[in-house]
Formats: sequence, C-alpha cells, structure tokens
Amino acid sequence: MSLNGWLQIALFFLVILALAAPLGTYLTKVFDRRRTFLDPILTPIERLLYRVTRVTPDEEMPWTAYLASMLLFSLVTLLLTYAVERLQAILPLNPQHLAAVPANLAWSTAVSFTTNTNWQAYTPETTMSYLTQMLGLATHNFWSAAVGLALAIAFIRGIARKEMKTLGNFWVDLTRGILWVLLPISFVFALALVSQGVIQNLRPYDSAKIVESQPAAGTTAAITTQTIAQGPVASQEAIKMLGTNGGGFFNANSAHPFENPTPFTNFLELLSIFLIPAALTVTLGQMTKSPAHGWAVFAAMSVLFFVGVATCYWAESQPNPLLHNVAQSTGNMEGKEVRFGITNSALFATVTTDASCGAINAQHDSFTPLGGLVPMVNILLGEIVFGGVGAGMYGMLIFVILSVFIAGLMVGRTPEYLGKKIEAYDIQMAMLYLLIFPLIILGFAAVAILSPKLGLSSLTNHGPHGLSEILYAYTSATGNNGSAFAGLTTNTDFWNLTLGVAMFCGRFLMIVPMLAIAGSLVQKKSVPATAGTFPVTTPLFTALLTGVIVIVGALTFFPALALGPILEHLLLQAGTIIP
Amino acid sequence: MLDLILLFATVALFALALAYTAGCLRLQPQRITPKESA
Repeated sequence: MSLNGWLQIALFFLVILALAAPLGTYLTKVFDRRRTFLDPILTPIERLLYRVTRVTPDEEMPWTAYLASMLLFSLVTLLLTYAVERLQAILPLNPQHLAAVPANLAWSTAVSFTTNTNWQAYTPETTMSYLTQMLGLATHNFWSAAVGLALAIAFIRGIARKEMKTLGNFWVDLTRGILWVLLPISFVFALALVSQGVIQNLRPYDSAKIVESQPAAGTTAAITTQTIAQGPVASQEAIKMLGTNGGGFFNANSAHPFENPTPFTNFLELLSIFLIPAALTVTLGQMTKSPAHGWAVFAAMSVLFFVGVATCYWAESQPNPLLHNVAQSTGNMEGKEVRFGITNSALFATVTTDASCGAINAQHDSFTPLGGLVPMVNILLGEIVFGGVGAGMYGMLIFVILSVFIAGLMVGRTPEYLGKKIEAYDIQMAMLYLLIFPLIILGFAAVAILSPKLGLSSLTNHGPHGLSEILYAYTSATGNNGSAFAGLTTNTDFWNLTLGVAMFCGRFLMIVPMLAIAGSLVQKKSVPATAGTFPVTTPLFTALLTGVIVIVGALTFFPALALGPILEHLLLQAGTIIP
Repeated sequence: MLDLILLFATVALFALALAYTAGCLRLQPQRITPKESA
C-alpha cells in the first residue's frame, strides 16, 4: 500500500461526493417532470415517442400495473435480443461472417443483458456481430439500467406520497430515464473515451504481422500474424459503465486497451459506475423532503465502501507466500494490468461489485483469497453499496425498512419510516426479498457441487478455490453483477440454463416484493413524528443500518465463505494449496 | 426445435413471476377507507 494509492482512492470518493448533489437534484427534476436545461431538445422527442407508442403520460399506475408493464417490456426486449443473436449470420454489420449464436448461449445471453447482469459465457469478438453488439446488447445496457432507475424512483414515490394508489407511469419513467439521463451522459462519456484512444468503427478486424513468430499449441506450425478485433467500442463502453451493466465488447473487458486504454479512462469508468447510484441518495432525500435521510444512507454506503476497498487493497498489496524467489515488492500482480497496478485493480474490483456492474480490469480469480473475498461479499450483501443503477437504491431501502423495524422492536413501538407505519405486510415482503436471494445462490451452488458430471466437470480448480468459483458464479448471476471468478467453463447446457434462471429470479422475483412494499407504503397516511420515533437522519441510524446489512449478510453466507475463500487463505498462509 | 423450447421456457418464467405477484397480492391486507367504514 502507498500514500499515492490512498490519495487516488480518496480523490475518487471526493469526486463522487461532489457530483452526487448536482446530479441528484437533476434526477429529481427529471422524474418530477420539472423543467431542465435539456427540455428544448428532448421534450419534442419525448412527445413524439408517446404519440407513436400511444402512451398517455399523465395516466398513473398502481404497483401491479407498473410491474406488469415492466415485465412485458422485459419479455419483448429479451425475445428481440434472442432473435438478433440467432439471426446474426443473415443480418448486416457482420464483417467477420460470424455464425448464429447457439440457442442455449443466445438464451442465457439474452436473459443476462435483460436483467442488467451481462454475464458472458462467450468471447464477444469471436461470437457476436457488430449488429448483435449494438442492437441486441448495447440497447439492453440502456433499457435495463433505465428499468432499474424507474423502479427506484417508483419505490421512492411510494415512500414520499401519502394516501395515494399510484407510483407513476412506467413508460414515462423509462423514457425520461433514457432520454434525460443515460443518453446525454453516455454521449459525453463516449467522446471522452474516444479522445483517450478507445476505438469506434465498423471495420473488419485488422491482421498484424507479429515481430517474433510463436509456436502454435498442438502443431508444428508457427503463428506469424495476430488478429486485432475492431468495432463500435466507445459507444458501448460508456453505457456499459454508466448503466452498471458491465458486459465487455471484448473478452478482456476493461482490461483490454481498446476498452480502457489509460489510467484516466480507468478513473472515468470508475466514476461512471458510482455516479447515478450515489446521486440517487440525494434524490431520495429530496423526493421524501428529508435531505438528511439521503445523506445518512449515503454515509452508510460510504462506510461499507471504505471497509471493502481497504481490505481488498491491503490483501492485494501482500506478496504470495508460496512464491519464494520472486520479487513481489508491489504485491500480488498476477492477473493485473501493469498500467493500473494494485491500487486501481483493487479499487475497480471493489467498485464494480459494490455496484451491480461486473466490468473488470483485473482477473478476480487471481486475487489473493481475501482480496477475492471482498468482491464476493460485496455482491452477497446485495450490491447496496451505492449499488446498481436503481437496483442499489431499492435494495438499500429494503434494508432501511428492516433497520427501522428492528429499531421499533427494541423500544416496543410500531416502527415508522418517514411518517409511514411499517406493518406486517411490509416486513413479510422485505423478508421475501431478502430470503429469495440466498435461496437461489446457495440452492443452485449446492446442485452444481453435488453433480460431478454437470457441475464439477466444468471446474479447472478444486478444493476451496473451486468452491469459490462455483459460489461466485451463482452469486454474480443472482446479484445481476456479471463478473466472473473464471476457472469455470460455463458455456454448457447446465450452466447456461441454471445461470439464466438464477439471473431471471435474482432480478424479477426480487422486484415483485419490492414494488409490493412501495404499493403498500404509498397508500398509507403520514403520522407526525413523536419522541418515540426512531430518527433516520442521524449517525445512530447510519450505524444501525450498516450493522443490519453486515449481520444479515454474515449470518446468511458465512458458512459458505468459510469453506471457500477463508479456508483458502488459511491454507495459503500455511504454505498449502489444493490444485 | 430448441428455439421453441427456450421460447416457451421464457414465457413460463415470466408467467411464474406473474403467479408470484398474485401470491404477494393475496397476502396484502385489504384497506378499509374511512368512507367504506362509515
């Protein structure tokens, strides 16, 4: 660890802190349909879209209609992506003449991008045509992020509104999220990336003669040329990070020099992951008329962020104890890009899993056991440390409701949250939300571990590291993160199917109880705060919220983590590994 | 053929989400508005 490294982490956080308030205020205006500086350009486009799609923007929806619209939109766009993947061989913008994507992989990928997961069981540059990347995948980067944003706003309205039945109009929230938020920021961000060397073209791949020919594996022939993949990368990279999607244009993701060429682009990519989720805490405070509550939530997220990044940075700064005669003064550099180093690899891994992004600039599988534990724990906590666009906010609000409930139990009063009484139904739905998540992860992981032919045969590592790889795969899928621990061949029928179902359930079966809570809260009348009301604006609230998140996560997942990364750490320190 | 199976599987998953929603709705207590109670 170095002072320079800590200063970079501090600078990153300070910029997020500085941008949260102005962007959060902007988001409030956008979703309250108040005037913004982009209205002269975007309002005519918005009106045209509503006219073409026959949406009545002033017609509000109860939670059930909001949910049904979201599910319908997701179903249609999922099938669109599946069709594009399956038909890409006969569609244009396929200069490499790539074949149709196999059915099981196309399905898994369509589910993955629809659910904002962007798990990739394929090598993009040898599997997906430019049209598939743009029309099938990049579109979902916008859509799935806008869906998450809309849902978070609907949940906040559920808290803020009193004695109403409706949460807003899904189509309006979706449209405004894309037009006013995601498209303009992505446009500027993509130009910044291009200025740093990120490519943006539709050319066939280049072929370069390499300086020293290499022996080809398994033959006597030598490799003398290298194919250099091209494509419309910058436009996809921008929304990939901003929308916390994470699916790379290339297999190496943000470690690829065409996706993330310089430390400056790395900084911009890190910022764009946290930008909207951090701003949403300010939006929460403004829409609920309790700005201090928004900042209290921001503080809880910040505490968890710093604990995570400090642990990961420390762990990766340690040398590998099994490598005796190797200079390791900088720490564990295996699987890391030299241009990013330990600090920016640890920071990226922490940020990408705090949020549901899943982009990577280093190989998580090569992290030390404790360094790799941090990304896994971040996802297992529910990706609520700023979190995914929208998804992080509504996930955190479930924990807020649980914290308020626990505080109410402690003093023997009916819990209240910003003037709303938290009743049995709200807690039932919150528990449903919290229990589905581990049920999917641990259930599928158990099935994979117990089936030698289907699950274990895909492993390339065994012992605790192999368990970590399986656990990470289902954690990442269910948490809609999309990053991989690697070391696992997941392009098989079993993995494509089970990971696809995990992604689907991890997204939609958690949204249902969340919206049900919003639908319940929105109908309640507001009761004035009394001396017995637990304030949700104080450091005590922040401490309780942080404690509840950690305890729920620890109680649920500690046994599995003890058998995976924690055991691997102990074995490594004892000088042993299980290959 | 596999395309059709996956299409049905997708629709079935969304149908599951709707059934699950119906289950959540059944748990929801009916609110009595002041007008109704009067």
